[in-house]
Amino acid sequence: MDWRILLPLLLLALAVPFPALAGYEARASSGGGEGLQVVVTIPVLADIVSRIAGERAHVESLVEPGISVATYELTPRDSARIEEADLFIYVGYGSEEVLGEYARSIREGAGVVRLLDVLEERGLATEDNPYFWVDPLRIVEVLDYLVGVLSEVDPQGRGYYEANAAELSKALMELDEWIRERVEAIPEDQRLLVTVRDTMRYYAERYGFEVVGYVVARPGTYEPTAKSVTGLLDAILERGVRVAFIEYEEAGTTLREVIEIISEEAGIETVGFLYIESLAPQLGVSTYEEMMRANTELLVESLSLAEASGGRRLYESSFFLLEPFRYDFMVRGTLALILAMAACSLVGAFAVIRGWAIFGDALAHGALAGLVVAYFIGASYYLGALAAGLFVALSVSSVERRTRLRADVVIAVTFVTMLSISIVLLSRSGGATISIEDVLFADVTAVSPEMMARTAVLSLAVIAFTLAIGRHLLVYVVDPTIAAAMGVRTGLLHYSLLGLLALTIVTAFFAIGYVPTIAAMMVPPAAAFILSRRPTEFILKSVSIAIGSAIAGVYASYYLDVNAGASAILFSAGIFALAVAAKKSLNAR
Amino acid sequence: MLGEAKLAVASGEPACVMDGVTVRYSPGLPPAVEGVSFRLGLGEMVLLAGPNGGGKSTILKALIGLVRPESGRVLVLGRDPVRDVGVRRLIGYVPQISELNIHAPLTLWDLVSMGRRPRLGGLFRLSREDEEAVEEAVRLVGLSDKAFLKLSELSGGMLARALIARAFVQDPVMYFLDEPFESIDAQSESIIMELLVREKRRGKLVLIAEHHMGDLGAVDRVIYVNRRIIAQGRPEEVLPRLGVPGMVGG
Repeated sequence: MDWRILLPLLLLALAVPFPALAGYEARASSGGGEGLQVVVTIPVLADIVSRIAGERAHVESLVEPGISVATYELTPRDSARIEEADLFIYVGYGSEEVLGEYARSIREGAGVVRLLDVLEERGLATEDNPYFWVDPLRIVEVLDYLVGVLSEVDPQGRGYYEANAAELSKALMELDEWIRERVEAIPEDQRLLVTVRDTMRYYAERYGFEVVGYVVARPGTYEPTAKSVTGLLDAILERGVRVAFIEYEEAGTTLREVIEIISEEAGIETVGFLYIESLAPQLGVSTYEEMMRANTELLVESLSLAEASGGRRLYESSFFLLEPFRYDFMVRGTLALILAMAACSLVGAFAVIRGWAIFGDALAHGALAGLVVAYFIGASYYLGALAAGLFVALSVSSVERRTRLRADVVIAVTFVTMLSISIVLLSRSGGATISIEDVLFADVTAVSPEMMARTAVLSLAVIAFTLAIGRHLLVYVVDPTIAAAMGVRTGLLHYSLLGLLALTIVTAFFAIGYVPTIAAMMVPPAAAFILSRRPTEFILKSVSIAIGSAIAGVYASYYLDVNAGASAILFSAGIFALAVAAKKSLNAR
Repeated sequence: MLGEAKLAVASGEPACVMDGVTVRYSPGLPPAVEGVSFRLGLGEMVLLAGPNGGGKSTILKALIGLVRPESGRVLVLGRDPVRDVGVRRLIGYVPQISELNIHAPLTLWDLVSMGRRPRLGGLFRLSREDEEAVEEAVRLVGLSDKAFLKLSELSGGMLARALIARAFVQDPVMYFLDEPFESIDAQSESIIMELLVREKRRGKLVLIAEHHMGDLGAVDRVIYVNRRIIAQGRPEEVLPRLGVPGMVGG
């Protein structure tokens, strides 16, 4: 067997046994332990509960400090912890809720507590804004409930828990007092908050801040829209905001890129981090109180010293065609989307004739695995993804040549293998501060000037090269035998097409995200295929549909407040559907 | 280019030579053809006959340089087609229809134009002269009114005629055809045969690999292969001896 086939298998074989063994050890050791075992979802909750539980219980968080709950992958070891605990407590929002539901199903409902039920009942938090703990006094109001659930599994401990709760209550009031005093240092007109998510709402209400805006409203979602981003930028400029804050949990996400780009556009500073769900012992934030003090100090320091913003719009216009492009970042995002989709649809047109349409999928997943590996070894994401993409392209074509398996089978095998490698690596490490979903949905509102430059240069290079070899490529994809017989260097063309596919996909992947990339390779060529009789016509229509959809997608994103890349693809799919419908009626005549 | 070819023949060299050629696709497998030797001259029409799997396609591919022989020598106009890509351009190769990807946004006209590929400029633009050549070829195979139908809209016979027309616009020195009469209608068969006979009279070599053939009137020579060469000679001598009377039509 070839090393290119062996390597993924070897990686799988190495990676799989570790979580399983670890799970076995955890099971064996927890049997002999003393006292109550309480498992919670996030570190900040673990710290609060452990203050009440004291010596009588051991409280652990499933998600470790420094890791985003969105990237957490469940391992057998953690499943064992959830199953064996005496009590499982979760809040009940976004991806954190998924863990709660999982616990409920494996524990058959016994000893599982969803805090949002009681929080909503008491008017302390909602599903859209569950972050009740950023206001210490809201914690005070649920202490009796927490004492209740602990006492239910450990009735003898009630007195002890009540005493601890009373002590915690006092500490929280002192914390509240301290925050009030510290916040005085911020000029009143500067008590303005801009964050990635709406995480500081209850803090703002308690301490007299105004939440000017955030990139995405609901926990668990990650698709910014052109409308929400432009709207946030407008609000920043109108309210004279001087600083935007980044949550620690968003440190490695696309949403962080979005807020950095907005801030650059507005000429304001971004400051990190505000700790919300996670703690960061390595940065001196090991407890809930330390977290609140660190957040408050950050606000005081940044907001009292910040300079006035120097941000500006490109022009003032409410003409509906121009309005979305008042800011640089929208122009950049739109250009990146147009160029990336044009390159994808051009290369995709040849791939579709060759029967490689689904190849894009395998390549993109390969790139994903490369990205995860690059993250762990600290290499460039782009190069990691590109190397893995080329690796997938070569292994698919070499397996196809060696075996008699059909290309679709080989592609599917490669694609699930690469996806599994990503998941195994992520679960082995307990998650990452990069969120895979964020890379999958890289967004046109988060295109930095460097990203724009790279996308433009590479997309234009791909387009120029493809057009230059287009006529040879066309003969090759239509009739490889005659191409070879006519003296065309088919081996070179084969690998050129593979290389172009990898380069185009990986470039687009980082600029416009995974789904729009794969779709742009297939959907515009598919629609053009139905609508064309001639090769030149096919290629021109394919690229025109892609460019038209990209522009329409941006307008839809702005005016309908939806995601730009996905809407662009829906426009292409709409053209495809219309073409199919027109074709049908043609045959019926 | 044609002048060069004539020169090679004038000096007594045959157009194609196979000398003890053995081709094996995989090391463990028996060879597809073994010890094959023959010579072909310009102005000849030769039928490469034999059962399915007997090595006819392999011989054609070796002559075009798509397959490298394990041993033996292949010469086309005195050159090795595996290494000399230029000599391949003098060959009008007509593959089996099944090797063609008909699910492409391509009209019959575009398919025939591909024969002019080495001369194509721009993306796919043809010169005036090229357009005339394509028009003429399409007319010769009787498909002028079908020129702008998509490949998927053509019948098997029309596709076969289109492939011949594509070879014709290459203005080759020799034609190699892989089962051109496989499951096509009688009209298409006679149009193709007519064109090939015309080309033969213009001094071109025509080599047809076919396991079934109706009209052998124009064939000068038959080479019968079943892994090895079983017989070769004039059709009326060779075919009765092999006990394949079905092949002698008319």
